[in-house]
Amino acid sequence: MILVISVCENKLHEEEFVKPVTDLLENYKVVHYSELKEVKEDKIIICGTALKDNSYLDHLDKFSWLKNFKGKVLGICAGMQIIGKVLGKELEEDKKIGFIDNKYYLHSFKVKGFGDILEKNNFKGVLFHPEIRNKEIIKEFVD
Amino acid sequence: MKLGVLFSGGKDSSLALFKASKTDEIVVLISIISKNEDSYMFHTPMDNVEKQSKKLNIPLIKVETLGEKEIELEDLKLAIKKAIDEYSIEGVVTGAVESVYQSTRIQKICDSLDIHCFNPLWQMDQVELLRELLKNNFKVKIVKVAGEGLDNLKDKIIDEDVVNELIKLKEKYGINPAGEGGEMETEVIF
Repeated sequence: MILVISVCENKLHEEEFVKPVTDLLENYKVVHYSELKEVKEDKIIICGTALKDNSYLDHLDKFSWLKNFKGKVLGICAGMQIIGKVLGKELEEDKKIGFIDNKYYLHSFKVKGFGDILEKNNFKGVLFHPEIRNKEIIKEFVD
Repeated sequence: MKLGVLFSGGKDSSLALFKASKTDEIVVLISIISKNEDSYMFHTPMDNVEKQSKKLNIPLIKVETLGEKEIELEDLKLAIKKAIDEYSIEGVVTGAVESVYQSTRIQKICDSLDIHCFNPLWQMDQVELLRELLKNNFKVKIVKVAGEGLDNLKDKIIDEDVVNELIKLKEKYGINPAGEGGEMETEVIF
């Protein structure tokens, strides 16, 4: 079972940022970070959200448990930013919209000192959206 | 949230409207009528958007464009700006499924106007999309075809048989069953 965490403030955005990810999975459950009580799964995907939705940055305390999580975590876009903050890194403004060098980007911030990918121990973050034209990244994480 | 839907009258923008109306308030339809039949941005033909808007009881902002690349984007931006000024929308909804070309451009316009952009059909499997239309009783007419083996589907209403035919054509000729590659244009009869 894979735990898919939504950070979308508006439910409608989940169709765009969560469903394309869960369409690639077989055994999963989706929980919004604000409703997360306990984590039994050993693999987690934290999905991205809309360009104008930065609400998760005001609730980073809800992700502090991640620091001691022993399973594997894949953070997509906002998910990478959350991983960065949990690991003590800073974010900086970096707006990028569109399909560039075969990767689809849609973000307002990046993790300072990192490019598209952040890998540390059990954490992997990707700043672009692998659910668009780079689905193998999600499939490899799941396998 | 008050939203405007970029509405062509076809199946994708109609399904996007349907999904968005479950969670948010749709206060206006925005239609860009392109004089360029080969526009990458806008669906043609769009003969009945006024009629559709009346049936749906949602006001319409209709803007014509010559459909020249980049100028049509300026026209789209003006239409969205009008919807912000007249209907106080905080975001737009699109029927984009696969096209990063369309999606990127609309995202950039929304960003420049500081409003939200919603793409509720984004990356949806094309057969799933067709079946969702059927499940929700949409009456979708195929009004234009441009692909191998599609001629006999023109003017047909999409039903289970048509979906199965489109799946067969996908297997035989590699077409996109929901017409994402421009193989067909549709009109929803409300």
